[in-house]
Amino acid sequence: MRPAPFTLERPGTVTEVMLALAQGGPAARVLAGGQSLVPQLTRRELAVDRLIDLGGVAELRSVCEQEQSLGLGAMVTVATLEDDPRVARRWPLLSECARHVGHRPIRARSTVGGALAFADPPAEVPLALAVLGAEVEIAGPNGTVRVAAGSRPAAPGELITAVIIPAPASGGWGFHEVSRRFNDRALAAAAALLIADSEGTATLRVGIATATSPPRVAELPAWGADDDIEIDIDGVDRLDSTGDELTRRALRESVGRAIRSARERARLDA
Amino acid sequence: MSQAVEVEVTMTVNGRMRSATVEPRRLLCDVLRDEFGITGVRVGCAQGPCGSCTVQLDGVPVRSCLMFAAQAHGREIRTVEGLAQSDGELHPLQRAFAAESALQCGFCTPGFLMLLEPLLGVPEPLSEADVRRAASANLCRCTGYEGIVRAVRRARAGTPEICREDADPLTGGRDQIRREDPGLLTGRTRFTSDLRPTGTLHLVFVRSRVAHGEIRALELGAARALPGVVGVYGPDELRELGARPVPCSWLTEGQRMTAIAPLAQAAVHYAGQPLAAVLAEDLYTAEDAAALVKAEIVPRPAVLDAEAALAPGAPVLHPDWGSNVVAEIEVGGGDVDAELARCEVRVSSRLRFQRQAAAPMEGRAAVAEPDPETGRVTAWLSTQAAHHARGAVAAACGWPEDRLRVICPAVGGSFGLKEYIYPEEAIVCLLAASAGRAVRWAEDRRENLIGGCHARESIIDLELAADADGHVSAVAGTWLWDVGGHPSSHGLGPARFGAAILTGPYRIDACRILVRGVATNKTPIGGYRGYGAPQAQLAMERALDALAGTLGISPEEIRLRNLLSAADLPRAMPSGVELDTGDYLGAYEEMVAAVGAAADQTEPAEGGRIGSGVAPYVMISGLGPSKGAVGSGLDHGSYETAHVRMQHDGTTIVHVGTSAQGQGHATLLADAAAQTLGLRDDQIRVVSGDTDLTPYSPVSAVGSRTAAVVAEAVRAACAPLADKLRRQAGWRLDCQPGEVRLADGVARGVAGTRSVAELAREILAGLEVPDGLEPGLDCVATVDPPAMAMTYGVHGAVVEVDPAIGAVTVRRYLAMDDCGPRLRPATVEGQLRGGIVQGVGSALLEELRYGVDGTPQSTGFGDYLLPIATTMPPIELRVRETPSPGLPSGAKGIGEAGVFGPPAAIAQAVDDALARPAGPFTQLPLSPERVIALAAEVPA
Repeated sequence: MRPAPFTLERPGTVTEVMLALAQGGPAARVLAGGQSLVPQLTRRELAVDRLIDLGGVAELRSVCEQEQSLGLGAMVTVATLEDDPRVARRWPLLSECARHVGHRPIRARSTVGGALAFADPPAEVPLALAVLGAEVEIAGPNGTVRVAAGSRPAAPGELITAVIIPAPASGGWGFHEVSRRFNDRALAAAAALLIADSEGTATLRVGIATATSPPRVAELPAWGADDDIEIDIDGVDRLDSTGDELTRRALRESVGRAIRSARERARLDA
Repeated sequence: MSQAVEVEVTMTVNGRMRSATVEPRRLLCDVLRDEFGITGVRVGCAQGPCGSCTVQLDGVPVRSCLMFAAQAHGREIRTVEGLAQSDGELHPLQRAFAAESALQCGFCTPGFLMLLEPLLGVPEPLSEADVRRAASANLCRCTGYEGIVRAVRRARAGTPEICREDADPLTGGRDQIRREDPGLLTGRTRFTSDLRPTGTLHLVFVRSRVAHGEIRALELGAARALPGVVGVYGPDELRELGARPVPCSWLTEGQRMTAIAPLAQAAVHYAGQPLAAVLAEDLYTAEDAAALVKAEIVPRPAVLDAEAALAPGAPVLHPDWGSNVVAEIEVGGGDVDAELARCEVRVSSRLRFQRQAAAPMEGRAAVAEPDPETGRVTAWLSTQAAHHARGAVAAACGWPEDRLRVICPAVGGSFGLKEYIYPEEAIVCLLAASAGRAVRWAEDRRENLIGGCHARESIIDLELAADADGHVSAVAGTWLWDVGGHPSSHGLGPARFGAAILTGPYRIDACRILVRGVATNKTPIGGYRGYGAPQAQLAMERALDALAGTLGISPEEIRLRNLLSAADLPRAMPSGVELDTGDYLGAYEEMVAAVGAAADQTEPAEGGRIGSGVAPYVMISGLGPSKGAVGSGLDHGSYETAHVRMQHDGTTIVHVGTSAQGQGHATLLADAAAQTLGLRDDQIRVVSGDTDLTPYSPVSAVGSRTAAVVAEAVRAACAPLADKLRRQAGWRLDCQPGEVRLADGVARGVAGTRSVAELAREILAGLEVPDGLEPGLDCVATVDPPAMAMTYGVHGAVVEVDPAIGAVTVRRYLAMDDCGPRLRPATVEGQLRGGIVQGVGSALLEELRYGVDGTPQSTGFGDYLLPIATTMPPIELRVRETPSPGLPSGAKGIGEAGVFGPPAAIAQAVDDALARPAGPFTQLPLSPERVIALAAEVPA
């Protein structure tokens, strides 16, 4: 199979992209890394007659580290999340999640914005962003809004332009996923983050995702004996009771390991 | 539909600026291959997962099928063609690949080279596991990945040279590099879809999305009207061009349907069945036109399971058959009923072997070009059997055979998939002749997984008759062979073949298997590596395990009581197939000890449980004699003919009708010729698989026969030439012919030498030769093996099972295989490793699935899961070499051997890990869901 015909535009700025989207009509799409979109077009699963290539829009590739946040342009690649020392040092959960996205040649092209837009339920980057409390900037015909990552998709005519991730306040984090083969699409995935508020009260923030359920985040008490994890998993279980037996077990395994890792790292940090 | 405006794309490719004006929808891999002629970029799936198309974009490996060419505008691309050094020397990684047997068919090799080359520059240490993780990005079907991983580590260690010091006496001190390797490593070797005569048209098939139904109408008009479309053909149009059904080659008495119509006629019987063919100026236009073909099909309920197809009230696929039974036949011998009546113990066991795809990295492809002067057509087919294909395709086109020439170019793996003659191949030839232009068809992975023959799916019920100590006296059983919508070219063949050796290496003298071919609404089924024997062997192994469980003895003990030992051979199996030489019991005992030790050394991770299993197998190799096929329903025997010609300068051409799909046959056959004639490797050229240039081969590269039979034919054709050389040399050097030694292109007498070139010149001139020496240096010889050769082995697996999530990890894998004297050890090991990894795919990963309405759910490598580089640890190989008595070399075959061990050993190991006796039911693959269910059966 090969893709059906479409026209291609190669804008150089976000302004030009928004113009092209406004003119493009319902069958216009943006092209980011293409790792999900291109095979869909090759299999003719999507009817697209206009593609707007974001590859030449330099302003979407910025990585901006500040004291309280990390700003990522929508075209920042997943490989950059894996490699960039700024991300690895202060947002290691994001780096680790990135490492589990497919294989290296996929990560070299996959983008943060693309991952959010494609919104494959078990995808690692949206899960990490949800747990990290990230926000997404979406540009539309009436200006730009900032919403919680994963709270709503970009509507037709809108463009995800950036992701802003707050700096986590403590060093405890964990991630685990269960997949059939190394780095296959996950059956279930869990990411955990130990958050301390200004009074020093710690909470465990756990995000889960399965092959069919997109990321959901719950807050649990930060500390407990390791056998308390069962309680925590049950707590998380209530978030997702729709899966089959294998998915349930994969989720329990992922959550247990993610929480244990987060607590272990937090202890080491303290 | 919007106008497709073209864009200009400019990129630097391998250091050279290249430009093309193309539609934006053109994939980067297609523009590199078609516009820029860089055919080292291979398209294995066109969907992403296989990675054969990997190129480096600004130094970073990416999949070129997941990018539009326009996205590479202004960028730098490096392909395998740009990997070699500026002076033409191979890149260190390429040299390491050759040295470590990291390639076989070579189709995936450029992708792996471009993927892994950056690892050479990584300063931190990389463990074997690190390299395996990196390599798991791409798929290989031939090598099992181990050679690839070793090659990377070798290149990183800075010792990339070919092992010239590893002089193996059997190869006469030759390098490990095969003669096929340089072309494959550099991407210069061309596979079928790389061939593009001027003005080639592109053929695309429209395939049914409905699994079962009546075709009311086929609307071709809209497709025909599309600019760039040359023709759109339904069954009526093809019939007018002379198309006939493709005759099947293995028939069972009473078989319903003995030929395959080129396109579906009044009814469709499986999703994926071809309905129409579209011929256009380019591939993308052909796909556009195919999307415009409308088929009006009234659906009928689909039947998707052989048992369901036999149940009363099941939909009958072919009403004129009266039922869904294609054919049935009893296989075996001995008095089974008497044993069943008098035995002390009877145990039943059922095996459901899943539906698999051979899935070579290169899909099926065909290019046909007509010669306007002679009216002949040359067809390059990605097939295993050039001569066989030629006969069947000519018949299907309604042509005299000589009108068609079939050539096998390099083939990117087959494993049985390409042994069949597909109607698609005939349609390519017919339309090339009709259009007066070359026509090309190259399937992508989706078409391969739904249109190429499927494999293996069987329900085998066995009943064992045994005494109270577990000595088995008889096996009775039924084998439901899930044929698919209609029989393939080989019909019931694999099940019959497997049933004939079901009793395996055991002392069982009575066996009767009723093989029943059942039609279901799925893709027709053919053979795949092992050709029915893997299912038979697994059924027998699991039945023995079930018997052991019933009697409360161990799986090892039951086998020790039933295995044949060396002293028991030769011995006829109940079917008449003779077990020739080997020490089944001794090998088994040795492997049980080795695997037990390996298990003891293996520590599980938290929550994991260790288990081990050991399984023997026997395998038919070296098919023969031809008359042995009489009464089998096969329409051909299995001899082989070689034609050897020595030229004026001593260089020699070996012509054989068979050809290879990655096994390195040209190297093996060149070795055989070089050894017999005393020539250097560079003095030999092998021509294979060309119906104009090579002798007729009835079978080709099947049944693990090349090392045994084809090499023998080459030696037999070389021997008389060697005699002539010795006689001429003796005459010239004044000594007896028997005193002349031929080596390295020189004849050495008692007191003097003469080059083979000089001798050849004299013999071809025919003037100064002794009386009685007939001039000329052409020789043809045929070898019809007196008997088949039985390869055997014992494999063992140590697995770690995580019962919580049903994960099974192979921690250690040990294999001992005996194929007699090994002509080329590196080749044998490569075949074993690749086969073993395929076997692990059967055991744990691979399954072609269908929705309840018969819609295929496995349409890409994201659904059909192949083993990847992280699937297996390094495989530990052991050797035994017991010669076959049949042919002078004593060699047996090894090509298929690797696949038998893993399912049986791993199934047993999982039982062991879960501390459960084998139950009466085994289903593959042992997916996480199935393992969780097995674990749940065990009392806490």
